[in-house]
Amino acid sequence: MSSVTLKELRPALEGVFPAVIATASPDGTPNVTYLSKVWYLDDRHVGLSNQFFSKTIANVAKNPKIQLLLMHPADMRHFRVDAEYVRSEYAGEHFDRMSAEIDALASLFRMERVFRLRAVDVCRVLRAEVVASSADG
Amino acid sequence: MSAWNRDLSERERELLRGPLAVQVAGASARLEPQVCRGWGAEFADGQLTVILLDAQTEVLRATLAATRTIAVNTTHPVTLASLQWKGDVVEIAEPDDAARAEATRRTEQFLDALRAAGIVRAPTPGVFHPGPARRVTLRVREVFDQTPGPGAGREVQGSP
Repeated sequence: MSSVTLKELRPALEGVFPAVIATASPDGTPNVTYLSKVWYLDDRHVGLSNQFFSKTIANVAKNPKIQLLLMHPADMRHFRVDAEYVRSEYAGEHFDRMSAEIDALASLFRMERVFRLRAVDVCRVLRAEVVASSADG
Repeated sequence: MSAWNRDLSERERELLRGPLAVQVAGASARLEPQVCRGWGAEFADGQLTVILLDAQTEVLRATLAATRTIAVNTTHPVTLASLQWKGDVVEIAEPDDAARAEATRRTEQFLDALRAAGIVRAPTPGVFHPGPARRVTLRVREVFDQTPGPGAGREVQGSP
């Protein structure tokens, strides 16, 4: 695996492909689901679109560790990101901007009544890496 | 927790048969979640079997072998119809040609669906090209409907 910076994987945050988020409950049970969008906030933080999360939020409230799987829109390279949940934002600049993006995304998928931003979950990125492609010759 | 086992509905069978994005997750002893892409998903007798590529899953496979606790998300890549399966790992098989062939078939099916929807561009050679692959089987304990919408996260009832 080779490390990358958040800046380097920004194209994977364009929202072309939904991201995957894995969390774990305190008893070690994993949970894995999709989320519509991951936003670059700064060099160390991302914002997650919280639309349907219930188990995910329950898990990070007790265990803030998360892992994201992202896909580059041009070449479909995968990126794995380890991060920690910091807080949820329900209003403000981030929320307003991201809510508008989610509305546009909903329109694209004709899911206006379904896609609705509940919160922006701010996470601190611990490491990011390119997932190895097939080692097979 | 008791096992989850019943005949799948037509909608559930169709989801597993069709183009499928599969995500396989575990959690380390330090409660660090780990997730990798998997391929295919077959359900029979209360057990779900998916395929992992060796090249991308070494850490996750070690975790699954140690903890035996697993979650698998199966999602149609275009409609986003989605089920999450949780349970206990009963087998991590050795890599074999049948798993590799099935991973190849399911990869093409997945990419065809994305192409037909106008979503996909050319992937980097090797990103989706499956090398050695193996089947991982879990005994299902819980199933959740994760299709986007107000019902996302609803538990799907299995046997009493």
